[in-house]
Amino acid sequence: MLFAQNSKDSSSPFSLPVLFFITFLLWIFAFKDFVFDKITLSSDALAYYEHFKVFTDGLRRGVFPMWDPTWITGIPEEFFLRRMGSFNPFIWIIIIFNKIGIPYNIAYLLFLSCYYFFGMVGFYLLAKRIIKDSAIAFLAYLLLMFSSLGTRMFDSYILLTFVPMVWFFFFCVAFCQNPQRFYFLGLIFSLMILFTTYIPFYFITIFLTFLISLVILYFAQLKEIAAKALFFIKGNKGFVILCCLFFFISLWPGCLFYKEAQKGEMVFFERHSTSSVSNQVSVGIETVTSWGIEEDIAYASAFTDLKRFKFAILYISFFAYLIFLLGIITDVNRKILFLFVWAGLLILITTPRLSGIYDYLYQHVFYFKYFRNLHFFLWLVLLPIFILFLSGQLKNLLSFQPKTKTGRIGFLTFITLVHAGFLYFIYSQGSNIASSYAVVILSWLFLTLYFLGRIKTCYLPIIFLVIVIIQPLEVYHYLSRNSIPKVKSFKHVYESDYLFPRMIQTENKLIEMKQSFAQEIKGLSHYAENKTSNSYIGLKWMNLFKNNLNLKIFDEYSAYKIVLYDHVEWMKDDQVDFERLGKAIANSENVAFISESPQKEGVGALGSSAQIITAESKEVKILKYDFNDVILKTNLNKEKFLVYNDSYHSGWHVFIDGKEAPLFRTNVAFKGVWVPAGEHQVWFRFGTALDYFRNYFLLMMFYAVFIYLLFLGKNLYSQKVIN
Amino acid sequence: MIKFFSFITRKVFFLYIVIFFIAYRFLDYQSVFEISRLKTLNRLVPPSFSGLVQYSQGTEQLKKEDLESYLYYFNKVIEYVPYESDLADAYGMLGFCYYAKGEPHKAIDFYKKAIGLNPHFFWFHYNLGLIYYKQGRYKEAMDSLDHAISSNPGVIVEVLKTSRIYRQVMELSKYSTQNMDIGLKTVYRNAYLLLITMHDARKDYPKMFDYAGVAIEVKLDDDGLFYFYQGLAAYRLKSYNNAIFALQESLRRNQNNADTFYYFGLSLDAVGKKDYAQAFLKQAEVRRRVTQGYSFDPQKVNLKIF
Repeated sequence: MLFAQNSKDSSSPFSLPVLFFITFLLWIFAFKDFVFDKITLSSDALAYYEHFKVFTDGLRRGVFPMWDPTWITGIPEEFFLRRMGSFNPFIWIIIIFNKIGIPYNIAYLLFLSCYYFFGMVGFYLLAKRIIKDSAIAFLAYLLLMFSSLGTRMFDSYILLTFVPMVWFFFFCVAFCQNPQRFYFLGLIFSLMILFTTYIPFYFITIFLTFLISLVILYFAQLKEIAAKALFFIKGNKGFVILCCLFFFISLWPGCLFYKEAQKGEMVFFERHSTSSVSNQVSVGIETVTSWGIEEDIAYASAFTDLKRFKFAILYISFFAYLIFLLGIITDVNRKILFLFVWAGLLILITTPRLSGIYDYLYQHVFYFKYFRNLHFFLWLVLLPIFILFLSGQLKNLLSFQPKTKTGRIGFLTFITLVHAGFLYFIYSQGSNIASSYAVVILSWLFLTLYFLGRIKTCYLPIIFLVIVIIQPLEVYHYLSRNSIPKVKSFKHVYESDYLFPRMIQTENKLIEMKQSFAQEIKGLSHYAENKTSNSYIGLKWMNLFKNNLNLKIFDEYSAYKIVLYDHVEWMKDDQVDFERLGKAIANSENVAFISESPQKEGVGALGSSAQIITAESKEVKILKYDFNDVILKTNLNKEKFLVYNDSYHSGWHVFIDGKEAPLFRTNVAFKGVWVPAGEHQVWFRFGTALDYFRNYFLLMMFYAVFIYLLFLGKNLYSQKVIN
Repeated sequence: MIKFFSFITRKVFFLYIVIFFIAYRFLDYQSVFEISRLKTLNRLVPPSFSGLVQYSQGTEQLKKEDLESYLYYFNKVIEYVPYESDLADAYGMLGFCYYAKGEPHKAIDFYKKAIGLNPHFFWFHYNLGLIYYKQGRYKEAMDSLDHAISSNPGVIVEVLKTSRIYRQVMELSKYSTQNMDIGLKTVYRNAYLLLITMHDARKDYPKMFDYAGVAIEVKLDDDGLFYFYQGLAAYRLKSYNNAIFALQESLRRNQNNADTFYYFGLSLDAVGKKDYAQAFLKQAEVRRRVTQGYSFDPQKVNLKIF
């Protein structure tokens, strides 16, 4: 039974924790060039490094970053925080490693490695609960650990969804088998992480198909499980209510982000371009179906020569395929059927061209319009299900005992023929790495000796370790060889000290830039041009500004963070004259353009130049700057309109001497405020008090739940040891 | 029987049979498979074909790892693409790459396959002819080059611009088609010159005369070279008046070739104009000491992709 508690344990003379540690070290060795930053991160992994850097830098300063000033000219951080799962307590691993002296980039990569290992341990525990054999579960762990799922941490972010999901299923199965507070809280905490990391709809789809498969194949047992769960809830009412409350509170950031995306201030060019729904995070069906599971499989099948191995290629040790082939003579049981049905349902749902189910769901189930990477299902769930399926088959195979001598000879002949056939197959495919053949030979030796009774079951873990690991070590050597080495140290844009509000250059550099711009801009015949934006995400107004101004003008303008003007002019949103705007910027005209009717227009000669602040002075001084705010001390001889060239967003507020003042959207995409003459403090702040409260409260809540979970786990473990 | 059936249906392979049947009967797995393979080709494209194009133009050596990546990609194109028109181009590219790799036999096979799918494309015939020539298989070389020169140059440019493979190669190597016409003229010249020199070697002077004449007709003669070969052929055929005419045309275009003066002098001598003949023969001697003359070296003509 899937949920029966008793498990048969083939205990090994080799301590499993020691074996786990050894496998972790071997994994680090296989990926040493990646983990120790000799090879660059690729694709989305690079963006995620940035997001984590911003967030951990903020945490270290005691600031919850809600604005990222480093993304073009600034953007709300919420999208990136949701992507990375900002409330995950494991993020502190990066900070702790960095604090003890490990360089940040290595600390980050070690965090990913440890988090991945943590996920694999969860998978082992889940496999052990399902298969009820620790040696076979260890094999499942090895197959997944050394599959190419691990490579995705260096080019993608799937890991951040995978790890909490595998622990969710572990806690879910464990709770169904043995309702305990620890498992219930673990289940809830995993859900909390899942719903605050990236897009939870992958998990929802996986879970719903899991439930459907469960209902189909384990309907009778469900009654028993429901009864146990009800009994637990009755006996732990307060605890359950509190856990549910935690879970519902954790939905808060996701809901807020959904609402934010609905407003349209943020734009997602790539994902939203083909969508008919107004919400910016929705995806059009053409975007979704551009690459899916079938493409990932076809892509992997193009790399029969493993010497060409690179990222995003589905790979698993050849031992898995041998088990698959040998398993055809084993009996089908409900567990195997369950995994089959679950995988089959997922494939039908998530492969649009295979059946019309996905199209139907896209039209009628709202959340299907909000996720697009269907090939993620291959990595997140189909690969682990396949491994669990194989593990079940191997268990059945190893328990097969032919009763007669003829039967034994026939079975051994079958094993030999399968191995010989597979050997010929890999040879004919042009697979020319030695370890491929070694795996087949070792597998044949193992199975032959096992069925001849020459191998004790206690040695199985170490045998599995040798057979499974041999090929990946060679394959990942080729991955290292085929990847781009890191030629220079990747420095985050603000790893240098701030010299002025956010990433401004030194004064000498500014003068140099200004002179160079002056040369380039002099004699410009046009100040506006139409370009298509290709940023993944941006702010609507900044996007408009960037795409309609001459690029040189945009570059110059963005270099100066503070500009003082004497005059403002109203430029309506539906009548933006980019030519006029560009010319005004290029000639440093003393007029700023605001998007609403000005309360005052300013005094002084219109023909004079705007005052560009290039360094701190008596007039403008920075008292404080950080992710979410900047505090300036001004001492102007007359009232001026101060423009802060950081992206405008409705979440920004400005306070002059503690009193909120009107903030204008200026020059299409930036922030501007009237500053009176004399000494004043001007405080630009992103977010409201509620935003700050929410984020800090959620952080504390997540950390508290996690610590309590560890406490419950320790108690449960101590109880087990005593028993 | 029931026992046996019950035994079989309990096994995993029966489950696979059922799944396979369902997939075969109810799901359009074949088109899914074909479409997904085509899409993966986009990911298998090398980041640049600059190495291939520069090698084709004779400006750079081709790196081994680049060549392997091109071979890998074009082999995948052949494996995945069902459209014949693109396959011909892919075969042609493979022919070129295998020749660059030093495997002319494979190159010949691929060019033959390319020609089988698209028998009217200049570059397949030209490159195949060149390979035969370098291997000393002159008869086959002449056949191929004959086919090459019979194709319309105007059509070639259009085909290159519409071919998916060629467009991809040009885009990813930032190759401009602006001077393609000039390049084509050069290779057509080479084709004719190779044919002429081969017929010269075989002492097939009537053919040599004809080819030179056609080359002149299609305006490939900018420097008098084809007039020279026409004149040479005519001289060897003892058609001295034709020789004089052709060689004179050659001299009008180029007065640096000693051989032109030499054969012109011999032709004049043959028709009895000995004084003039002596003058031209002396000019020939002078030029032989000073200039190199026409410098067509068949061994230096190399395969190209465009």
